[in-house]
Amino acid sequence: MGRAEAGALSIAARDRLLSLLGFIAIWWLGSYLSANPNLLPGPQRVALFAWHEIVTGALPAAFAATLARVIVAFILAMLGGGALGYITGRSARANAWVDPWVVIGLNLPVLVVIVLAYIWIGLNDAAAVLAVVLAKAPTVVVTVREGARALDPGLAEMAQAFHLPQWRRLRHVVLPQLLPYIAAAGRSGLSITWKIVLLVELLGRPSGVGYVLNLFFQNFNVTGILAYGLAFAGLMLLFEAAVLQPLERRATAWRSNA
Amino acid sequence: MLSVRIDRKAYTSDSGVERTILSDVHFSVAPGEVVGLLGPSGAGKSTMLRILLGLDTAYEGHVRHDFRRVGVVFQEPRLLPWLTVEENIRLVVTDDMRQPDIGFLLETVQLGHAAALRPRQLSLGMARRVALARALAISPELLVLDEPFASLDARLGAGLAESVARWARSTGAAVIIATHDLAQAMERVSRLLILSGVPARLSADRPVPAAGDTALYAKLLAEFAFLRADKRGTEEVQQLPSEQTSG
Repeated sequence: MGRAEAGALSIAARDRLLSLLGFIAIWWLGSYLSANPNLLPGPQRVALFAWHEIVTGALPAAFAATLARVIVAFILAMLGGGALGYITGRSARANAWVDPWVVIGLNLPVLVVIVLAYIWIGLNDAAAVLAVVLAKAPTVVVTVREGARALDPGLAEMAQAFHLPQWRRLRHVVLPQLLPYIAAAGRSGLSITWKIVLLVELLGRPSGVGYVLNLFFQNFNVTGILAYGLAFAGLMLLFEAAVLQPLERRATAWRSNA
Repeated sequence: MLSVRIDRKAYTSDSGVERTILSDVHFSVAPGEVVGLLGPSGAGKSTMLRILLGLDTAYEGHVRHDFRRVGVVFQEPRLLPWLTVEENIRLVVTDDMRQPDIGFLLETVQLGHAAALRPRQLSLGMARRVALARALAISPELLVLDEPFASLDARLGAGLAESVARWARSTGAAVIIATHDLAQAMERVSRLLILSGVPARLSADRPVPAAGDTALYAKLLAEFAFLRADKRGTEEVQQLPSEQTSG
């Protein structure tokens, strides 16, 4: 990395930090000027409440329940959507069959999917996870389908001419080409998934961040809503920065190794 | 033994017009033969190679062979950019094959230092040589080369062609080299197949003349020059202006 590039990066990091501090300052100012501090509690009050919830164990318990649902739904949506995206990207016939379903899935309001899943399957975790998967998978299908359509036919022919075993073709020829698309679907997928999971919990689960937010809403506890909402968003951002982005960088490192 | 019988190969364009590319191409290649497949650019050589490699099955006729391992060098190197040179070569060697000596293979194509490099770090000529090393890595009984020495300088091309010829002699493998360069083909092969016409047919299948047979050599040269001129006259008129500007 050149010095100019490193300098540009540190300037960008500084700007990001300043922007974040600006957000907190505006929040603090809004709360200071507010006639009713319960309507917009300041950052320090929210942070104190969050700390209290962490110490009592309420926040970790809610986070654990939500995270479990996010992880299961995310993995199922990525696997199912990814496989379907690959098949529809490679076969026009399969795409003709699946595409109308994907279009319906993309345009059906998430709320409708969740409510129907609860009505048809019952108020349980299976229905909750299924609703999230059905709401998320269509976007994975669309993204991975684009990747499958962009696969280099020359490399596929090379693999066929040398009679490479199927597993070796998939692992060394197909997957590396699909990885940027899978990573893009994963990153956008995670943020959508956890937001849908909160909605699912709010509507019909007795645990998790969504359930707790519903309680705070009924008690008009804005401090609690902000504490749980911002803390969970922070956790997801941290996961993306610490896990997903490095994975993506590693998968595409060959592009910049020249 | 490879037996090729392509009665007809046609393409249908987007506008629905069917055009026959190859017609009545029948020949066979025995182990140990080094065959040059000669024809002007666009004559259908690559299409024919794709058919005999099993990559194109939409044709009338059949291709049969009893070679257990078939190595190929395409016109483009077709290396996997996320793998190193060594990994690219090892990729095509399956568990039931003898593991190749990568260092020796790379020395053969004069790239002894390149094992750890990635394809982005190679010139086109180097990448083509890696593709040749990859094809040799499986100890093929049939080696198919599509314009293998284009984009290499003349001396390097000649050296590699000699390496391939020596390798073929020592292993008894059959080799098919597609090229549009008559002189290059004559130097390295024992038999010439010439594709020409529209649609392309096999217009000649003859042994390469012995070094002293200047009459046959001259006849072949004249014939091929005529084929190239004919091809250009009928099909490549539109390419002439760009050739003139680039030349």
